[in-house]
Amino acid sequence: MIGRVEAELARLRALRWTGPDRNERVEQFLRERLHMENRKHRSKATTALLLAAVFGGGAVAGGVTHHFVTRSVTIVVSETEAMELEGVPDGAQFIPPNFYIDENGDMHTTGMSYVDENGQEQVEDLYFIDVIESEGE
Amino acid sequence: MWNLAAARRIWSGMDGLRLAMERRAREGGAWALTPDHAGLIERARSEPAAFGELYRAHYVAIAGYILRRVGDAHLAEDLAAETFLDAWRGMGRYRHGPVPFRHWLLRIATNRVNRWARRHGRRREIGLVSELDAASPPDRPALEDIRAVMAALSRLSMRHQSVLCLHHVEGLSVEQAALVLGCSPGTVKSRLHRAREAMRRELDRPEVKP
Repeated sequence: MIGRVEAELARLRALRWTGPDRNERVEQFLRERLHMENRKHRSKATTALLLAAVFGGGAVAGGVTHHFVTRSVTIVVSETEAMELEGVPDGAQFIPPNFYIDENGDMHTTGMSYVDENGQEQVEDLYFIDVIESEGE
Repeated sequence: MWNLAAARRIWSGMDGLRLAMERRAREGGAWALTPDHAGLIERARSEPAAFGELYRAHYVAIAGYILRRVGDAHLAEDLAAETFLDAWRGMGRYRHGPVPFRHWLLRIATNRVNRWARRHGRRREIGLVSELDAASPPDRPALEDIRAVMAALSRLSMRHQSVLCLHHVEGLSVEQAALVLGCSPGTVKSRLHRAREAMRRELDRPEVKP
């Protein structure tokens, strides 16, 4: 037998959600997150293209002299994140405007953005590009 | 032999099945029927698009639960948004398996509602008109009756409100309510007993008698 309290509470079941199926605040939040993710990926892709252009020039030069040296290049994006390009030909010599090589021979790039672990977009002025090893001729 | 037309027919049949499942999951009282997708939940920890799929699958059910707790559609919409934003922030802590995803969302929603109720006191205006207008007439209880029940409920402690709503309004079993509330089924049973007594006393008060 259903008690009185149960019967009274059952009346509340008449309250049905008849509002929209979507919540604009949540949708907006997710759109912003997606936008940030896309920017992050685009930024990485742009860097990879630039490096391909840099080292592609080297590949042409190497081909002319029949002297190929490949190596892998690590781009340090943040303290916890890095990109690695394998088989990059040695002899890169065309440096795009936002890349430069310092007096120690280390390569840097500027103005990259990424999303940190708290979901905040960060723009760093300077990234060190670490050429980690030579793999031979 | 496979061809494009056959593939389209199969795809549209699967789409129909998916839509039927979604509709069923959106209906109130379907808490136990919603399947969990472990892969989707894993991806939702870091991918907004995957989290968006989860949010769309559970939004109506969660908003409905909050509406039945607070009695106001606009407030329910706000609290549902906060529930899903909390869920996004807490995805890293969610462990798939022991607690089904929707029950985890119910836990967050319950905490949100309780926090809001503590801040705004137990006596509050309850706006039900627009929600009741949508209910079908034969099933529609008198507005005054619902308002009286909600008013009596709102004077109980948060623990008692939560356990009564989850069990007697949402239709969760004692075990399911225990998962949502993060306690043992035995605790839910004893809390239910005390909550029903408290609710009976509130309903007997002359000013809230339906």
